[in-house]
Amino acid sequence: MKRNRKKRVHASLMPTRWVSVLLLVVGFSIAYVLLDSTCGSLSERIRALEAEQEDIAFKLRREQNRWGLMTTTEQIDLALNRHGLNMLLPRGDQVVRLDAAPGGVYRPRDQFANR
Amino acid sequence: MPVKGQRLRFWAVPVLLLGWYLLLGARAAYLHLGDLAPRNRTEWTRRLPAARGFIRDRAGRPLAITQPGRRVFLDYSCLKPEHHVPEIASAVAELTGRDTDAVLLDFRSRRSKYMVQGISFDDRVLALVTNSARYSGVGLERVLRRQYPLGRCLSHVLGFVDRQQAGAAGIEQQYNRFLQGTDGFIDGTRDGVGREIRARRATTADPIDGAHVHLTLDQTLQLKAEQELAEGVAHAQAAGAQVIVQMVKTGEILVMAATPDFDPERYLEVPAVVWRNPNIGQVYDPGSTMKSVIVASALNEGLITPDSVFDVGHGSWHYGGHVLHDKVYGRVDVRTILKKSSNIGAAMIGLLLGNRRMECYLRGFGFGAPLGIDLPGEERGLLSPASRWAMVTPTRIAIGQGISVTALQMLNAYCTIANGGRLMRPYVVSKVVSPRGEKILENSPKVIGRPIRPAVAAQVREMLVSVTEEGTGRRAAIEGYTIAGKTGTAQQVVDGAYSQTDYWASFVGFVPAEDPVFGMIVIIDRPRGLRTGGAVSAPVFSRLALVVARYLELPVTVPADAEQETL
Repeated sequence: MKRNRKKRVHASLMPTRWVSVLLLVVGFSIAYVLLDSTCGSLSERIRALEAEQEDIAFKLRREQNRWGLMTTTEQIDLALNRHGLNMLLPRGDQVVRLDAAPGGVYRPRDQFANR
Repeated sequence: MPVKGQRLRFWAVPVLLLGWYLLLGARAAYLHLGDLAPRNRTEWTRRLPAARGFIRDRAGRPLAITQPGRRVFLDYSCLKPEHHVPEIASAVAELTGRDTDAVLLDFRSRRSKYMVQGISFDDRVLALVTNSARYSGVGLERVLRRQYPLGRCLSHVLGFVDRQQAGAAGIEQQYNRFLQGTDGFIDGTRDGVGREIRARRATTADPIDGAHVHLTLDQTLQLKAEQELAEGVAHAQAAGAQVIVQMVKTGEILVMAATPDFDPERYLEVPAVVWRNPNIGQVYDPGSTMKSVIVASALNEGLITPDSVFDVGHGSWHYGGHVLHDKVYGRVDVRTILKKSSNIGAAMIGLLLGNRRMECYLRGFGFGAPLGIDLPGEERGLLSPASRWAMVTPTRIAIGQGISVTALQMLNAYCTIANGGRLMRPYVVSKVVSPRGEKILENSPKVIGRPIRPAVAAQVREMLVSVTEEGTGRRAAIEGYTIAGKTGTAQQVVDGAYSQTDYWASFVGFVPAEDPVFGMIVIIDRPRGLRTGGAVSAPVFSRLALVVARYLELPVTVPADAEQETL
């Protein structure tokens, strides 16, 4: 009987095929989690931007209303009073109207053109 | 050789661990991807309100707007113990217009986590949520609310919206389907603390804002008319007044005002009867203003000419068992009957016309039926069929009694005379435009009748000029222009009988007489002291007609002395 012979332990590890499948599944899982996390943070950013857009639209509408109301008759009357201007409507023969060049001057009284 | 037990022990741990991790993974996948019951997720739908369209005057100036605001609510659960509740309540009360004690009561009652205090349009309200060092327990929600920047002006025409922002009167109601728009929504999911999981949003539908309605009315003239009405009512100590200005050739309404009026943002503070637009929703006895219609009808039938003479006697006339009184005596021609407003003369012309023809012409001029104006609540007036008339009825209708009309009907009839006999459909909306500027609807002038010939209309116009130059309507005259018109004074029916104290005083006419551009009617309800149309309504007509004529830049038809110009 020979002595001092190295003992070789024959151990069978998990088959290569199974390891490959396992690694693939783990890999996909990690990738999925990472992508989902990225989507989550992007969606949070989108939500924040949407809220900001709503806020801007809110302010825009308020500002547009404010400008639109500056030209009401009452506002103009108040402005005239503030500057001490007392204005009367002129007679028809006191109005001098310049003929518009082609594609030119805006006529604020065009609204009555059908009369 | 490995022992059999060693192999088993070697593989047991990794297999168990692997199995455990696989189970966890499967459960995680199920939670993440599976279609779970609502107890684990919060399905959520958020409404995105559409902005209601604007209402603008003919120059595009806003009359009704949609203003973004913030709904302020209290949430006691978010109140921090170190904050001073009375100070928070005071700030909330100031910004919402509520009473401080009422806000305090809501805070301390702890009834709900959502106690609405009101709506604020003041940007200082943001401090209630941003200044967390001083304020807590207050939340804000963005809302859109209807506002009427001109206050009471045009209240009867514009109408108002109810608490759900739906049109409930006037233009708001008539054109609600264009103005209201379509709300959008978001279908999504919320997490455990109520925040939306954006990645799980299922559907988004953007809101579609309402279309804008453009009126034919002019804001400047409307404000001026309401001022004149207020002065006229105060001067006459009257119960109310109405005025309409209409373009003769197109039927467009430039001005439609009435008093008493109301604030559309506080419509619940007045009785519902005040909401009614009296210019179309209230009938009155037209009095002598009806004489022009009867004369025009008889002329059209060829029964009379302007020079036909009638003997009106000595101030009283017995017919059909009734007595009719007059202030005109002797033999008078048709011109004088109109100029001096002879009751007996008009009654005789009415008899000459006959019941059937009179009814036919009255309906031809638009009386007894709605004219079809694009406003809700238009009355048809009271005109009974000729088959049911008593013997005396045509004599009374000829002087404007026994028939009830709206102010719009009477003005429209005079505009028909001014327009060569063409009866136009009145309208207040010129167009409806989408938020992107596309025209959705457009109104155009429409002839709805031709009761008299152009030559007859011209004859009546000429006769009506004498009313304002030499007759009962002299106070309606204006500098620089010829007016054609007629006064009217009619007793009101109170408790089934004609009142001796309550009258309708009216003046209706058109300017300028030679080539009419606009017509106007002024009616004063129950004036005290002076009660006739010539004394009470004609001066209001005169002042307002001058403003309208100059605003429209009508060429003067009567040269005026510039040094004597007054307004």
